[in-house]
Amino acid sequence: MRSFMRKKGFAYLVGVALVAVLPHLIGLAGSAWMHTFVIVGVYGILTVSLNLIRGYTGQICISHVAMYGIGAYGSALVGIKLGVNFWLALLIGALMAGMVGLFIGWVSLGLRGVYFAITTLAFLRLIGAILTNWIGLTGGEVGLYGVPRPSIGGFVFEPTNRVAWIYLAFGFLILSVFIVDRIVNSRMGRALIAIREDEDLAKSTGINTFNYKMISMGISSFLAGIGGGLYGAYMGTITPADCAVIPSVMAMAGLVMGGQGTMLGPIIGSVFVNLLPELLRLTGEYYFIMFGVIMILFIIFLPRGVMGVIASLRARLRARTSIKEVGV
Amino acid sequence: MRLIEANNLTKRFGGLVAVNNVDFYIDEGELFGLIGPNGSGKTVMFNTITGIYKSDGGKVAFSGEDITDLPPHKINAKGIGRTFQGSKVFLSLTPLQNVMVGRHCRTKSHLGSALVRTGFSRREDRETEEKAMHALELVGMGLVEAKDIPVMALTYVMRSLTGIAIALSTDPKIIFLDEPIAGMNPTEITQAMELIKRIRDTGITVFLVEHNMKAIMGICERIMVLNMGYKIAEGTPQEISQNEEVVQAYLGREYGAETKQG
Repeated sequence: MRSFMRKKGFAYLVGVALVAVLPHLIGLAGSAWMHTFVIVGVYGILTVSLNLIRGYTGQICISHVAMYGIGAYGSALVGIKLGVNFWLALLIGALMAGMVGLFIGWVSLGLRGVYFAITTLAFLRLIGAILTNWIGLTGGEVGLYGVPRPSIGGFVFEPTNRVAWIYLAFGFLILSVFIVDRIVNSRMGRALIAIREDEDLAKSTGINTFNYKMISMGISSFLAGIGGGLYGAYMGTITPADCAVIPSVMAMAGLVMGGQGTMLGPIIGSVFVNLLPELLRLTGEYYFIMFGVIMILFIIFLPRGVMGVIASLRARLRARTSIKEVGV
Repeated sequence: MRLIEANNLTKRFGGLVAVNNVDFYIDEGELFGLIGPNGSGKTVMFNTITGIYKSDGGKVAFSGEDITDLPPHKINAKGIGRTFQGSKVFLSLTPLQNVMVGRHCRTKSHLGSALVRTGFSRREDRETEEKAMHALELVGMGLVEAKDIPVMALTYVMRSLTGIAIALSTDPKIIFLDEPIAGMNPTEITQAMELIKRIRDTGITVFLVEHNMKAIMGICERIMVLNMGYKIAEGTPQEISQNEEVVQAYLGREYGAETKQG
């Protein structure tokens, strides 16, 4: 157990080191990629948070990306209209997302499987409709612009300063991975995974499944809100399309491609869904067809995503070494 | 002392009365069996007592306390552990992880202590693992050796045993076993019967639903028989095996009449 913890500490160290050199690595590929990677980081927070409710708790929560939107709109609005300091605004936006997530959960977490999924889809559309039509508050289709930038002391995170933004986005990404990691590897995490595996059995094993699903929903919505707030501040603008059905599908697709219920899966997923459009740019309007085909291939051949492949390779390697140890 | 006492327990599904006005009790330390033909209401009875279904009448008391229609997790916390028919387990987890889940209602760490990883939660996690190991050891039958293999990759029998270990790890006063020996070969059945006796000897009362008459007759001290939702008999294995109504329920009216003549 102790060596396991040390290994984990080491993994985080490697993660931080990677992030430290990340801008330079991307720089080698061309500075045009810098923007894409800021989005990878911010979107990664969304996928990591989705992973908690979807990958670990097993709930197909389609409205999740709307929490990203509420985080973005919420923090932008208190920043623009009330002039609240960015960091406080980010927290307020995330708390709003958490509250809305809890409300959606309270209404729909009594339902299971596809019924829950459909109810959350309805919420996604409902929130989209509000964001589009409450023009006085949200600016309608055009959205909000002039979203305040974050700053520390005198240093302002200008969107042109991609390196600073990569550090900011990936810093929050590592923090959210850490939070999800801590939760999952605890008594509470065991309860969440039990719910994913078999809700009836979890109940009869003394787990108040509704409460735990609510907690999972609240935390994942809060984290999504943080991601959204950062996205709005980086782009300087936020529109209803940023948190509608397509980004919702992309987030889920990314999670599946990376590997649901794994720590790195959602990050890999975020890299996939954000780099693919760039790599497939030449295909123009055929992009979504290409993306669809890739998605289908993933589901058929790699249903557990990239992390699933890595896990089975490691298992095979371990089997081979253990055979060697026995001397076969 | 009465551990479980049910009065007029009733469960309906539309027009079908799956459990019809059943009275029964289980004393502390007993090994109590429930038998009946397919569809006689055995599993429905389990599910109604353990809160999976809401009852449509009657009362269930546990150690004298009314527990009728409490949610399943509260019933488990009171001290009723159960397994499910068809060896329901947490499939992608290992037996050890499965059983660690079972410690949930006997542990306390919450969100805060998980995030900070306090000394308390670390100690509790270690203790959870130890207690889970105890449950695996109590079950035995190769489960300890298989503790780190995902249950998905294990045999049906191992799954059943994992289910029993989960229920045991919740520190129950009584354990409900729903057809635990289904799919086992004769040797395994003998071992499982030993296991059930061992569980009882640790002070846990056993409420056993079984299809296999021979097995249940061999170990239960008292047996209740359900047929089409009604309780048709109750008594020692000896009494049950000679009860005419039971023989008829199992083998058909004609056969029952024949045995009477013969």
